[in-house]
Amino acid sequence: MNLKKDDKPFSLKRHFLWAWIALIVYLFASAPPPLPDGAQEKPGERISSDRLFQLLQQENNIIRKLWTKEIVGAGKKQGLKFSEDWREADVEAGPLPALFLRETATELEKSPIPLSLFLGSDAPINQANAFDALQDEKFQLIKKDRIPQFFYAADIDRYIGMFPDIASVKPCINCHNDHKDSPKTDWKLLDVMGATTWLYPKESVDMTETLTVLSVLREKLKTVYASYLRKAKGFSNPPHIGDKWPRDGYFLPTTEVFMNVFETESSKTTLNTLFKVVHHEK
Amino acid sequence: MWGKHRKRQWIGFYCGAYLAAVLTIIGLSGLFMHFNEKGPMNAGHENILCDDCHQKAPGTIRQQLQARVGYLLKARKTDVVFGHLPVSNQDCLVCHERPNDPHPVYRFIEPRFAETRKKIQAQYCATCHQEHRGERITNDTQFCRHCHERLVLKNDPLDISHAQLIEDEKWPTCLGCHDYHGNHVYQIPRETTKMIPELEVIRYFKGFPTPYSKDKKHEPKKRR
Repeated sequence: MNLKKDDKPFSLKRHFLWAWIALIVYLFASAPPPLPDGAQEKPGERISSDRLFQLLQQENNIIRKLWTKEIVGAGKKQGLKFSEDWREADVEAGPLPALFLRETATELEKSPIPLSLFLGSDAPINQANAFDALQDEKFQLIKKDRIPQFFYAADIDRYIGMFPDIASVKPCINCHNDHKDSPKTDWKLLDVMGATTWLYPKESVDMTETLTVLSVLREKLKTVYASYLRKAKGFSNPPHIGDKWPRDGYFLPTTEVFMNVFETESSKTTLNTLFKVVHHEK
Repeated sequence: MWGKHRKRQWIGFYCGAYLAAVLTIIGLSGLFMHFNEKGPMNAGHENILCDDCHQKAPGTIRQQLQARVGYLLKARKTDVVFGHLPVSNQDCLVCHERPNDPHPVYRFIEPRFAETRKKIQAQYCATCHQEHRGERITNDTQFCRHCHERLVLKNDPLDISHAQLIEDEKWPTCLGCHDYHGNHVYQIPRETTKMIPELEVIRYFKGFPTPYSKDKKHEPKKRR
């Protein structure tokens, strides 16, 4: 039987051809803007993870010094208390310097930026914080020459920077020497008491990402200080919170005053380091 | 030959294709999502919704398809997630993040836990809390051994020392006194006779009420 031209069966091959054409038109010709390709590197200066960690550590050193000297050290003289149990509802105290860092680390984990921060030692008060394996090996090198160590951990896909944590003020050594659970009680000023460890999943970052990471750190430091002020407001004898510091009496600076002093100092250092990066200086 | 038999084949083909398309659209729309559940929700999660944990991946379905085809054709360097993002720690922490957790998951990505991570992946919530199992904790009562084998207490407050319990490998006794995430308000016993028996701890793991205390330091937040 002869079929007319219009009566020809719709061949399967032609069917699939039309389906492919329709799919290509749907996906590409009439498609919405494509999703960003994460591997596409933006043009501009790249900053190594080592340098990024150095920038973060500089900021961390400045705030720790400010917290330890101006809030903990001077505050204790005015009657403010600082304790490892400061989070307990019935304890009227603020975080000790190591706990200020731990609070910051916890806050960083809430951020979508995969930056992690830890503080540890080979003789910590809490044995759970003792270094082990590769981290301990790197720490022994840090103790020997006080030079930061940078390495990569494949199992967690993280670049790592370890920096010496040096006993720079007396409250650090006094507290550790007097603590009932301390395994070492002969700490001296300028001893390497431990190490701060930073983790980030990229080998290098562009300038925008660098500034984003730094701004996230600052935002989290601000959050931690603000949470201490909230606690202090609930003390049975709350300190006056304003523009004065504990060195002036029973006062605490507001979050804005505290952060302003920190940012004024840290911005100078950070900006200088960024200029060095742009000029390819070490 | 383009006869009745052939015509019926095409009707069947189109009906099948349309039905598949409709079912795909319904499946992707999120309606009837509970049909996709792998199993019963864990204790305390009975009232949460699918998209409280299963977040939509960035982009529209069309953009995702486009990116995946582009990746297969090597037109782009990175692949994208299609449909929903994998559930991560962040999804759990939206409700369960607490400032006083003595064992926050993030701590276990520190390099010093490299050996421990080979034994227990404590850096993931799901290692102990696999969802859709109708339980609370999907691990055994021995897991403390992975980190605390070398525990030394200078001032041990317990009647039988921690060192002795560790030497005798009485690992379930840890949870008889200590609540892993430290969120229950109670007095930690100083005598081993007053600790919670392992059977009670296991019942708690299975989804029964807490043996520690009904008072909590922080209640979970109310979903996203």
